[in-house]
Amino acid sequence: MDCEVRKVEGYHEPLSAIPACQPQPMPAQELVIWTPARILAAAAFCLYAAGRATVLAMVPMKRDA
Amino acid sequence: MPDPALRRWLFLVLVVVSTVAATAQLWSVLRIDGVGILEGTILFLFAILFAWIVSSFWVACFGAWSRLGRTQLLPLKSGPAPGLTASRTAIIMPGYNEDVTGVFAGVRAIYESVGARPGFDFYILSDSTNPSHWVAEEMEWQRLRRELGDNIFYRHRPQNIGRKAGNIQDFCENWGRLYDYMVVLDADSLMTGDTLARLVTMMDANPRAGLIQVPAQLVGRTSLFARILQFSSSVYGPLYNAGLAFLQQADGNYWGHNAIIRVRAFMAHCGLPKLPGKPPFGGEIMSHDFVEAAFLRRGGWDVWMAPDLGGSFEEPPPTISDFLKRDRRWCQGNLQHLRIVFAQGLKMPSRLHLVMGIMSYLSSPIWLVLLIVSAVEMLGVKPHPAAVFTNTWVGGIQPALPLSLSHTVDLLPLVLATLAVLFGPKLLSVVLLMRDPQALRAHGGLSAVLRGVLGESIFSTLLAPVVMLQHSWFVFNILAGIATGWGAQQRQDRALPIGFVIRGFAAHTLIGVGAALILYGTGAFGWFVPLLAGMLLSVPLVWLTSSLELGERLHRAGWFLVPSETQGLPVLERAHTLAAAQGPQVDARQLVLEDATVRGLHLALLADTPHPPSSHEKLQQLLDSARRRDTSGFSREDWTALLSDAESLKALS
Repeated sequence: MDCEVRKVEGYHEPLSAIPACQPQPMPAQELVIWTPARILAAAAFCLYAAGRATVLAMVPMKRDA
Repeated sequence: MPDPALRRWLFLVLVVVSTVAATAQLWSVLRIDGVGILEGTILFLFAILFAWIVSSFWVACFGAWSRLGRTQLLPLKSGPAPGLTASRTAIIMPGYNEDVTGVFAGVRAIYESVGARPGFDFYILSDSTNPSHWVAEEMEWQRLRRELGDNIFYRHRPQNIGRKAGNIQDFCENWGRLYDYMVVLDADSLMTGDTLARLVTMMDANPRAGLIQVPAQLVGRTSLFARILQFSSSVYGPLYNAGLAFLQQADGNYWGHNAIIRVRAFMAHCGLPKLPGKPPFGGEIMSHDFVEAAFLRRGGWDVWMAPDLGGSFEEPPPTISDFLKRDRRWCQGNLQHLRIVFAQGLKMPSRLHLVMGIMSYLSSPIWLVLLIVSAVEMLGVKPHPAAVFTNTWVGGIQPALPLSLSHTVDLLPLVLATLAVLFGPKLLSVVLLMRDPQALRAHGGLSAVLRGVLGESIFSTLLAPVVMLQHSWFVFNILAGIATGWGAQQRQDRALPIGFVIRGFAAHTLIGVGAALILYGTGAFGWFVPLLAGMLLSVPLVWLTSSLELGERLHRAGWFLVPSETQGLPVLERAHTLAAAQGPQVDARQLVLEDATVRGLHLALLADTPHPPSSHEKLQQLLDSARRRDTSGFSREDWTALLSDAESLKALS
């Protein structure tokens, strides 16, 4: 373990301060985000699909009418 | 229903079917006068909003199902008896200019609750930029160490880089390898030693578990607003938490605190990237918790919720104003997730968590636009013959009244369905509470619970339009590119001055007055009364509910009682006792100049943390003033510069 507890002379008594370690970096994760154009395209497709599904669902009712 | 996938598919089907049925019902009314752009917009927005509220309804129903069926909501091995573990756990308390007295009282209460259980260390991770807070924290930490033990550590970062996520990352990078787990707390979090020990044994026994979130019950405040929040958290929370746990299983979420995390997993997968572009949508990820949970899942670790573990608490914001102030930051953080929700590699449940977070705020402007469009539609309807003929879902061609006359009968099922969706979970919660006589007594008995649910329902109905307006304003600002900071929260009970409330909520009232004037005398007016009432009463609502006296009076009268009030909660009472014994926080900056022992401690700690240097001339000026005890003109930056320079402070000795 490359950590040690440093002794720091403090107020009333010796205070063992925070352990000192060799820092181990946390790498930033890769985050491949969609471009705004791709998000808009996906949203447009979802809207179209939802609208199309709704229209199809209503067709029997129109025929009844 | 053993298979989580089956549960989720059923949930999805129920949400979709309910939404389609409700939207079709509305369509059957609107189409009488023809479906144009306005009607189409209404249908579209209504479908989004109905799907949003009905998803909460079905979560609650699944919660009731799991509670009534006594389903095991956390199917993890329980592990060895608490206390037998060799694992090491860091309890970390990140803070940024928080109330020093309250934070250290909380840490001490948790420390005492942990007691002699081995393997726990406590870290106070300060990012405080207020010099007075900084010095006060050092003094309090030193006192805790002297009185409790040497496993309480304090670290001060001179700059709040990466906000809370950056603070935790700094801890992980420097000391994370010393620990198997970390329990992240918030400044107003409390957890019991029993719960902490059980979390550790569960992590030991379930090596795939990356994180276990323990829902925090709201406790400890006396203002009326906070007491209503505490009541709803205590009565309704178990139902929703059970539903979420039942559906999400190992695909859970992280709410930023009161959770145990496997440090190795967190360090490997939760380093947060910066998003391209500028805030509010670019830069550092503000609402880090959802993203960290998604990253853990992407890395193959399980994320669980422990809805029945108990022993996890936090204090709610004391007033509506503070609640909304916190929401401003959360709104920006959650809307930033619009860019992350489609990120490659995330699991679908993680994306849904992100979407739910986004919709928490985006639903408000959608609702506002729906109301405006509906009002325009109702105001613009032309006169029609007394009756027309149309078809219905099941009855074939039938006579129907046009929109200009009345559609109360046609809309009634829809209104009733909406009311059932909104208020049904509350009633389900009461039913579940009635099955547990001990819990019912802890809430003051059945009549007190029913009274509380009624009062809370009226309050939340009045508050809803205020929140809608405020959230809409937040969303508008954020979309316009106006970012906010991430400052310290108001965590102390306080009654708001009436002038402050009027300044803050005059706009809401005026919007209510304007809408009432426009709608008055039209057929639409009646439909809008509950909304208008909330806006018109926003000032008294905010002001009265901030009242500590009213909160205490209603407490004595048996309103909104929760178990922590009727049965006591040792860890909370201890924290409150400690905070009260401390008295108000003093300005500790001056003590560094005047008290050699405080200065000695500060210097000793300063040696551990490099601080950005200031110019020699500036420091010399500050030092000369400090020697003369002439610090009245010091700015916060002056104090920070002086307190960060060891040589200058040594020269004072």
